[in-house]
Amino acid sequence: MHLILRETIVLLQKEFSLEWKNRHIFQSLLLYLGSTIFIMYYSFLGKTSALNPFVWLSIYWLLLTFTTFNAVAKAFLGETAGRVLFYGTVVSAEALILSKLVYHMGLSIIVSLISWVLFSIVFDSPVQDLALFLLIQALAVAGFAAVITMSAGIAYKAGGNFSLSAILSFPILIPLIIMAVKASKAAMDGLDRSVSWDEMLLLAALNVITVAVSYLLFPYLWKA
Amino acid sequence: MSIHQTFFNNRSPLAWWKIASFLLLLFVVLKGFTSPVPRLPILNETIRNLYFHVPMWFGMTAFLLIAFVQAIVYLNSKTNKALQDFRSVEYTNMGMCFGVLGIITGMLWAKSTWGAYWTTDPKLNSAAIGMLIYSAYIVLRGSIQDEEQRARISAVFNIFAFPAFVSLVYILPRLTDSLHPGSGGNPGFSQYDRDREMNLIFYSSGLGFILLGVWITTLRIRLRVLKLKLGQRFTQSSAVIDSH
Repeated sequence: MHLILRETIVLLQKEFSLEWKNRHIFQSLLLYLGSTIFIMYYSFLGKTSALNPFVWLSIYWLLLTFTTFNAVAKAFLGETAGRVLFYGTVVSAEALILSKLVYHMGLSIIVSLISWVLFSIVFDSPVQDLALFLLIQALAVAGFAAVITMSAGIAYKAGGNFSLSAILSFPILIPLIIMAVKASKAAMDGLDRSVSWDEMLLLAALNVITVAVSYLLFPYLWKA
Repeated sequence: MSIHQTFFNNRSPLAWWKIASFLLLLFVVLKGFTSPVPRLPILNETIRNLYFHVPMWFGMTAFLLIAFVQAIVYLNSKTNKALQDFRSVEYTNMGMCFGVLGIITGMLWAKSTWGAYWTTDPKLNSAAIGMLIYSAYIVLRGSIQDEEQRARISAVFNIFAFPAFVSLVYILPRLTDSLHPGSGGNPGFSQYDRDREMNLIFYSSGLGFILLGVWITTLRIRLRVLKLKLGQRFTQSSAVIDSH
């Protein structure tokens, strides 16, 4: 167990240095975010004041879903066949999936915060309980990231098809999205915090289940 | 072949559970359409759909659960792997088939009681999304050429998808208002006067349809095994021809 933790930390360092080396990937993600927000802005003809809060919330969750997908679906794309072979000899599959999960869950939370800032600059935010809203958002996008990471792993093993990871992950994301939208609607309307407690608990539970199932299944996937 | 072999051999067309399935479903069809039912407003005669719509969901859950367990068995075993893969995929297919039938019978029922074929009811939409998840499973299998890899990767996806499916179909609808009985404050069917005869028909239908599904699935698994054997014989004989 101790060994897996050490391997995970080394692999996390590798993810960070690779991200720093390929800064253009993160920059292109920001560009994607900015362009998407502008498309949304002009698809409402710039009349953001005409937007009712519920529409605001739904397009915000659309933005979060697709941005998280773009940030995370590349999780395994950079791995060449030679490097996969190398991993097989030096680290365990458990450490590999743990590092990928932790890294991409963290990345997606950061990206979602940036999305929040950019989105609320362009579209005035109707959110009343901001702390709770951001907490729900962090829980939800971390769950998205976990599901998409595992789906990207499955799609990678199935031949590296990028659209396959979308087909595999989007239906599984829907329960998370339903709970996230419900809970964040309550936070947006400034309802009592106990209202969204059930959904948040379920979101957290689904995150734990996803991570646990990925951890258990990934070794079987990786040696295929 | 002795009577004992006929009744207790699962491969025999006269195996006891196949006969039981036939008799149960015969009973359900005969009594389901003719026996007296309580006169309830809006529901009226459509309450008979209870015998056909709800067992589809019992069946779907049972078959997807079997497929999930079989996928775990596949990943953990060393021998007989092709057969376990066939079981996993065929039970998933049968689960999907029951799911589609459940949606169709539900849509007909919804049209006559709620007024539209498709509504925003969470159970209906969750079931449709569940079908999407398992359609992704079929797409995934189609996109992998190598048989051993296809079996292993799709088993991994099957296990990965099952918790999401369960939360979608069994947990989420309970959190929201539903038009279905038994959720969102609507009374469950047990609170209507579902008398003993209705219960008997209802549970016979559940059991009968599950047995029927198992029967069809075992036939499809045997067909796959035969095709595999045929393919192996073909490659062997062509190898013999090549060596000559």
